[in-house]
Formats: sequence, C-alpha cells, structure tokens
Amino acid sequence: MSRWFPWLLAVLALAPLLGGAYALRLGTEVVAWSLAATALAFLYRTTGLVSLGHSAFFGGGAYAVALLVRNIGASAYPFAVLSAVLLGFAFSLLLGFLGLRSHGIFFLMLTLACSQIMYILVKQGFSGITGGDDGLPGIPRPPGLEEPWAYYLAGLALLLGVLLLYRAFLASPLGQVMDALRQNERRTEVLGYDVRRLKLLASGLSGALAALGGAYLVGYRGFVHPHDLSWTTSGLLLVMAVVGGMRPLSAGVVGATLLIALEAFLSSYTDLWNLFLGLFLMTAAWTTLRSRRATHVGA
Amino acid sequence: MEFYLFVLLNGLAYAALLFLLAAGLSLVYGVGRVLHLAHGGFFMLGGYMGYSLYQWAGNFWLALALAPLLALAVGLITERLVRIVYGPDRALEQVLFTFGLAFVISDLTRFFWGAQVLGVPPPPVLNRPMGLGPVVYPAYPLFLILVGTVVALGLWALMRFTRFGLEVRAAAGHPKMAEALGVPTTQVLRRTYLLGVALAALGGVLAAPRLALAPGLDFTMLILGLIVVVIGGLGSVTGALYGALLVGLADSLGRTFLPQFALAVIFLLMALVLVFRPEGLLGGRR
Repeated sequence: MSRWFPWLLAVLALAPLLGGAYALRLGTEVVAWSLAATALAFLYRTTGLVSLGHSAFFGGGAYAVALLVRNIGASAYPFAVLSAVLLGFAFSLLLGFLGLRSHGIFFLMLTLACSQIMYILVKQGFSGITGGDDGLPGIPRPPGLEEPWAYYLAGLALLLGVLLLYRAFLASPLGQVMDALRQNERRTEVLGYDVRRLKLLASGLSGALAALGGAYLVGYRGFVHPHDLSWTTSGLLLVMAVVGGMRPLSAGVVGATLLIALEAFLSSYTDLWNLFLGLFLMTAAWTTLRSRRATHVGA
Repeated sequence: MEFYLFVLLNGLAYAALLFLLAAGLSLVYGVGRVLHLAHGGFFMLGGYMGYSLYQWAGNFWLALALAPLLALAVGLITERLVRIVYGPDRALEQVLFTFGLAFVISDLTRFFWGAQVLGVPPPPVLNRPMGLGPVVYPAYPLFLILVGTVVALGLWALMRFTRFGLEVRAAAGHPKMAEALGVPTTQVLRRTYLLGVALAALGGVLAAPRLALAPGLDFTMLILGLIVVVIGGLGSVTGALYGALLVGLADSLGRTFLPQFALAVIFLLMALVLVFRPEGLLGGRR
C-alpha cells in the first residue's frame, strides 16, 4: 500500500461522519462499489483477465441477499451474505470453466453475455420472484446496524479487512505465482504451474468479492433493481478499476471514490451520465496505451 | 407441420438480421484482432437513422438505401478514433475503448431520438401476407431472408474472387507475413471496419419494422452478435453465417415453446459449444 493510501481511508472514514446524511450516503456507496471494483482489479492483477460482466456478481449478490432476507427476515443476514458470497464464487467458477477453455477474448465475451442474460432473466424471466422491472423494495438493515453511521463503519471495517487480506494474498507464495501469471503466462506454465486452475481460482475469488459488494449495498439501500445487473453497472465498475490504475491494491477504492463523487456532481447537471462514462473509458484506454508506449521507450 | 414451417421461417428471418450484424463483428476481429463492442450501437444507429429518413421522405426504400451510407459517415469518424487502439497485445485498451464508444453511441441516440419506443412500418409492397404452398406467411420476413441470402452470397464472392477479399484473408491468416508481402493491412482493416459498420446499419434499418427501436436495443444486439461469433468461431464470414442460423433457429424455437426464456436457450447453446468446441464451430480453420 502506498504511503498516502491510509490517509485516503482515514478521510473516507471521517468525512461522512462529520459531513451529514448526504455525505454518509455517498460514503456507504463508495464502500460498496469499492469492494466490487477491487474484485475486478484483483482479477486483472492476478491473471490479466478483464471481465465485462461483473454486474452479474454485484447485482447477483444483491438479489441473493434481498430474496433471502425478505423471505426469512432480518435475522438471516449472516446466512444470506454467506450464501451470496458462495454463490458468487460458484457462479464465477462456472463461468471461468466455460470461458477459460480457449483464447482470453472468449472469457470477455462470455462474461458480457452472461451478465446480460442474468439481467434479462431477472427483469423478465422470473419477474414473479424478482419483482421484474420494479425490483424488490423493503429490505431491512441487519440487526444491530440499523443506524446509517454504524452500517457505514461496519462496511469500512469490512473493506479494510478485505484490503489487508488482499495484501497478504499478494505476499503469499500463491500470490507471487499469480503475479508471474499476469506477467508471462507461458513461462509460468512451463515452470510447472497449472495456469488454468490458478485463473479459475482468481475468477472465483473475484466473483465472491463482487457479490460481497452487492450484498453490502443492498443492506444499506433497502431495495434492489435490475439496473444493478445491467451493462451500465459493469461499465462503471470497469471504469473505477481502470481509473484507479488496475494493478495497485488501492485501485478499486481510489476509482470508486472518484467516480461516485463525479457522478454525484455531474448528475445534478445532466442525465447523460453514460456519455461521460463512455468518454472516460475511451480516455482511460488512450492514456493506458500512451503510458505503456512511454515505458516501452524507456525500457 | 405447418406450425414448424412458421417457426423455421421466423428463425431464418431473425438469422438474416443476426448475420448482417455478426459478419462485420467477425471480420473486424479477424483482420485487426479488435473486438468491436460498439457494433450493436451501429445496428441501432442504422435503425434510428432509417426511422428519421422514413419520417422525412415517407419512403422505406430510400431509408434503406441512405441509412447505411449515413452510418458509414459516422463510421469514418469512429474508425479514426478506434485506430488509436489498433495493434497486437492491446486487448484491454481495445475493449475499454470500444466499450466506451458503445456507451457514447447509446447515450447520444437516446439524446437525439428520446427514450420512447419507435417503429417503422414495412413498405406497402411487402406489408401483406403471401401464399407459400400450404401456408400463408407475411412477406416482410421473407424479404429479410432474401436480403440475408444475397448478402451472404455477395460476401462469399467478395472474399473468394476479389483482390480485397484476398487481402482480407491474408491479413486475417498471418498479418505480419501479409504485410511483408506488400498487403496494406491497416488499409484493409479500415475498409473491413467500414464494410462491417455499413452491414450492421443495414441490419438495423431492416430490423426497424420487425423489432422495436428503443434504448437497450444496441446491447441486446451486441450480446446476440457476440454469441453468434462465439458459436461460429471468430474471424470468418462462414462461421458468422452458421452461428447466425443456429442462434436464429434456437431463438425461434425458444420463443415458441419457452417464451420468457428464449435467451436462456441461446445461452445454453453457447455453453454447449464452448464445452465441446471451445474455439467455436469453425474456429480451428479459417
């Protein structure tokens, strides 16, 4: 973790608590999106894979928690969150199983297609269970965390825990191998590592973390909406991870903080938010390319 | 029996639209290794431009002729932009860039044409039922099947008999070798891109009387196009054709027997192909 990153976390922790209800709401959203954007950055950091469909896990986690809590009651939260995370893991593993059999571009297309199909199934296919276009309202907060600030602090602790785990993972032998995998897949394979299994593991963990983000968001917001599963959500998560720089540990948090702040600012002026999101993506691609060219010249 | 003929014809009409979309997607990937995620946007753009031209001129045929040309003009601009990310080992940048472009096109069409559902009626000549042996079937879908067949044959001839086709196949097969032998690969890619964009827009205009024009159409179509090329194998027109036929028929069957889960049927088809033929049906050989 770079030296200034703990300070960003400290500001994140304090600002909403001092800044009133609106700042607290934004802060909680930042925590939720940070978790999911970190999941995306983690996948890239460890395997070099890009997912265009992480909304499937983010929104899927949210829907899993919403359905379980609505049907069983607020006391089911630990169980609901755990099942959301496990479902995210299993589902992502399955997707990896299908998509990692050939060229990386197939994984990309499969993630995008799969998230879109989830979106349509939730919106139209099973609208009796999922509430269709209207989503599911009236989800209570977990017991003990009903106060917004308590929920926010719990989320912050969760995020910190995830980041510490992430750091420990990178430092572990397994994390080192994954770093090698991103840098040179063929060499890693020749060294005797089962590349496909490593990719599957990373993909599963990433899906689980994104589902955790969705679960956290729904507990705060109190409703789920098909929009959480849409390609806009995937695109937003991708922009966040890219703006944060993809590789650093802090990528997801930095990107989520910037983008949530920007969205809050821009949406009071225009409803063409997707246009700006698209322009961000294009600029991000352009700048990554430029910086890569620069390093090539330097090396 | 007649019932199944209906299902078959519906599937073929849908497959024709999917083919127009997927052929360009597949060719652009084959020549430039660029996954053009804004392709669905051009399909939708073609549809909306066709709508406006129809409103302006009151003539479907004029709209059908002009909308692809207008989309081509837009394609000339976006091609200059996408050119920034051409090149090998740039998968991440290309995906970010074309995904971003798709967002921009999506929001701009919503800005210009609004969020309400728009439609174009089929031209009067084709807006009637036709006797087809034992069954009576609307003429417009038959026209779609005809256009799809003509375009497929035209593309095949283009790839097989012209210098451009030769260059496309060379660039897709081995870009470096092709360049060393004097094939201007960048120029070939540019022309392929424009061809793909025009075909997608043509598909969009043709789809306007069949599918509703509304926000979200671009991504629905992009996903279907991706599924088609995943099934058929990236990089070949023939693969796109087979993929489009399979997806079109699966969709038609799904819509008939499991109306709400048609997409799930298609997805199942894709999953099966990925398990047994990970490179797509024609992925191994170009």
